[in-house]
Amino acid sequence: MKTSSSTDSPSVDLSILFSTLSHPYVAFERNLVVAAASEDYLRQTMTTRKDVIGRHLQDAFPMNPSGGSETLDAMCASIEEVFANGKKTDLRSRRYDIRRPDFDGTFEERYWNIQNVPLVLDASGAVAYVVQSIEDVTDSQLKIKNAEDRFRSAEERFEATFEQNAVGIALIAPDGHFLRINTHFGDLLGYDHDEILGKTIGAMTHPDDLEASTEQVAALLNGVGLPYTIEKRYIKKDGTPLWVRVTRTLVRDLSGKPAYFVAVAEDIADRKAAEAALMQREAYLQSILDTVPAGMIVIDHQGVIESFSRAAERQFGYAAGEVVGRNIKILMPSGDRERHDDYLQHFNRTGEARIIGKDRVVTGERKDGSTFSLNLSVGEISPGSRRHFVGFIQDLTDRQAAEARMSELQAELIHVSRFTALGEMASTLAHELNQPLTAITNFLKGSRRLLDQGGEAHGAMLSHAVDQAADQALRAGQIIRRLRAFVERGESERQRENLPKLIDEASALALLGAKEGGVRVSFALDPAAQTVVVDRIQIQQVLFNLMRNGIEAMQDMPIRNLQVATSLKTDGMVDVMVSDTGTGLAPDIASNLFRPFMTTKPTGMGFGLSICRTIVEANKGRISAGPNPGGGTIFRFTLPTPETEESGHVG
Amino acid sequence: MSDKATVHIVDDDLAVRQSLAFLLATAGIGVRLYDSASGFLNCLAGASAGCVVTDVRMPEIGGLELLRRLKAAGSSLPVIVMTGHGDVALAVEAMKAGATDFIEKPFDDELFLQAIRSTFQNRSAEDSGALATRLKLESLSRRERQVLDGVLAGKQNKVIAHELGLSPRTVEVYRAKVMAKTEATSLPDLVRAVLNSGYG
Repeated sequence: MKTSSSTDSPSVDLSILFSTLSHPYVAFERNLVVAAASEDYLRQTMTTRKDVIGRHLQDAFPMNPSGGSETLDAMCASIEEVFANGKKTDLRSRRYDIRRPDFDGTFEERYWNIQNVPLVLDASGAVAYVVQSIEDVTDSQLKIKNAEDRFRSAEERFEATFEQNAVGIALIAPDGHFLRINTHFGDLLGYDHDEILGKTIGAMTHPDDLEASTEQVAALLNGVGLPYTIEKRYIKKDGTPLWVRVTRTLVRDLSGKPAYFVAVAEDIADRKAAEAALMQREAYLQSILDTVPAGMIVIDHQGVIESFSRAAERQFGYAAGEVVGRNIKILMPSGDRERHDDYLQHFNRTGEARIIGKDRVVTGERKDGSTFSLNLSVGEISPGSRRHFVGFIQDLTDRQAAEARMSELQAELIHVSRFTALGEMASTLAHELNQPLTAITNFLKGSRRLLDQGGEAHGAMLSHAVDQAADQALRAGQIIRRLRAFVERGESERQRENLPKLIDEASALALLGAKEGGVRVSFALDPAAQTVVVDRIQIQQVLFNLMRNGIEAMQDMPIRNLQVATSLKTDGMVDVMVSDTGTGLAPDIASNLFRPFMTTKPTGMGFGLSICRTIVEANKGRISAGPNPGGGTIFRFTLPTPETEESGHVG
Repeated sequence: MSDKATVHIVDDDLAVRQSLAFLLATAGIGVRLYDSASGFLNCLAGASAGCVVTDVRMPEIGGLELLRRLKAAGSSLPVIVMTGHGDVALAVEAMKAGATDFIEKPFDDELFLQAIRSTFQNRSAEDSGALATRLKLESLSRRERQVLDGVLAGKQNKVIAHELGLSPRTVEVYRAKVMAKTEATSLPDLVRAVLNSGYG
């Protein structure tokens, strides 16, 4: 053991002293050379006395290249400080790795608490040695370090979660300022992270949603800390609104004071757009339902009204709000009202439909207690598993009004129907004409007989008979005049008429029963052929006759198509065509078609078409007939228009 | 002229009644006039003899109905039915219902008077003619017979033509042949002869 000698230090054999110490101690001279070390020190630092005694601190220990120089430097400084000040120093939890000599020179990670204490040996108070005690705190230090590592990785995970989340996340101060946002949040609103700091969430909220937002904040501040979700609009950097679903939570500090809000924002623009589209569709459907003259009522399986259309409101006198949620029974008069629940239960139980899919005329009761007959058609709808019924209601008082108009029209056209019974009329006419003709013949033939018998004796009788014959001839003339009057009706009633309407009305009557007879009827009306100058009733008689003729001509044909077509001709007249796919016309008949007593019909007398010609010509038109290229006949007549009337055109 | 020669004229047309009365008067035949079938039926008890001339078309009770009522009342008065143009079907019906004859208005006075006179005569002569008529009818061809059936049904030539698939002109030819073979002088004559023969 080598002892150092110094001029102002008393000589003490430290080695003997240290060898007795049972704790890890080491003593340094002023020049930081190790003077002595206890056995425990050597054991803990895995060195030998020979390795360290008489060596400078920096050289006495092998150094782990991966760590320890800082600790040695700090230890040197600390020791020197003690020599200088005479006060002890502490170094805590310093890493200094130990080389394990029994292994292959690897180092063991070790942490130490180090205390340097001055050793004064004389009255001068000068520090002779610094005695260092060490404490191995590796175990506790490693625990702390592991905890730190775990904490760090948790923080890293949080960062990753925060930053890379598919939803926007913002940390917001209680006063509304942004503290931090993730990238997605910035992307949602079009801001960079730095741009958004210093702004408040309030400034980025749609004015219409501010109230709801404020409410959310208040609820969180007063509440128990549960998340709170609302749907609201943010204002993006470019000024456009963005629909988001925001869930906010409040984070409080340890003292319970609000620290910050975490706001998680999801972009729901697509969903909102879909919702808006749906609402628009609904509004669209609603507007259709509001426009349709039929009322529509939707009820659930128990008969509770769920929807009540505008038309239904008009029909029943109830506002939708008054009846929605109530049972449909209230719209029925007593009788049905009591039985309706049973009807519904019967259907729900058995599925046996008594009214669904059928039209039925029933009676409804208005709010004021009055009743009206209505046509009801009921359909079943099953969205999901819930059964609903939708009823369409047509107020028959309207339809009855329409029917009344129809019968008015018919009454007008009854006049026309004299023409349907034209065969009969002609026969009656023949009979009527035959009476005077018979009388004339008889009077004249009788007179002739008297003359043969020597007329002088019978002068009075003869002149009476001749007078009578003359009277009867006049009577025959009157009958014929009556026929002309019936047909012509004079020119005074020609006026502007709407041709499509005229055709429509005449067809309504002419086609009665035609559909049942398997006749397909079509119209090809030229939009340019609108106004004609005619006697409406007369032209309707013509149309009526031609259409009836066509239908009769097709009776035994496999294909029965009747078409009415109009067109405006270049000369300003309007052409009206009635074509059929009937038997067609034999050539010998076609040439005489419009002459009286010409007929192809078993029961006809041949007056119809001659009257049609008389009428059409009285209305300044022309009528003709020709073969239909596909088989059958086309009748065609022209009618004057206001233009041709003015220019004095006549057919 | 005896009561047997009285003609009961039933017609709703005044001029026709008066002209017939005039015509028959010039022929020395007595008449009684009725303006309706019911008027005549009311006086039926006093009209046990003579013949009846009636229009087929009259308001309320027509000629056919009158015929039926007369038969129902057990009357054996011969009845001549007057028809208008195109009423062949009605006339045939009248003949089947027991009319003695029918005549189309307006008519030739001789034809009419002959019809009246024949009702006053014994009818056996006509009955004996039935066999002859039947023989004549059997000489008709199939087509001629079809045309005759159509005529008896009161159909017009063009309708018969349509039904048989012939031209109206051809039907006219067949019809003329039928008239020639049966030696009928008029349509009523033909109808009467055919009905009397028991063919129809």
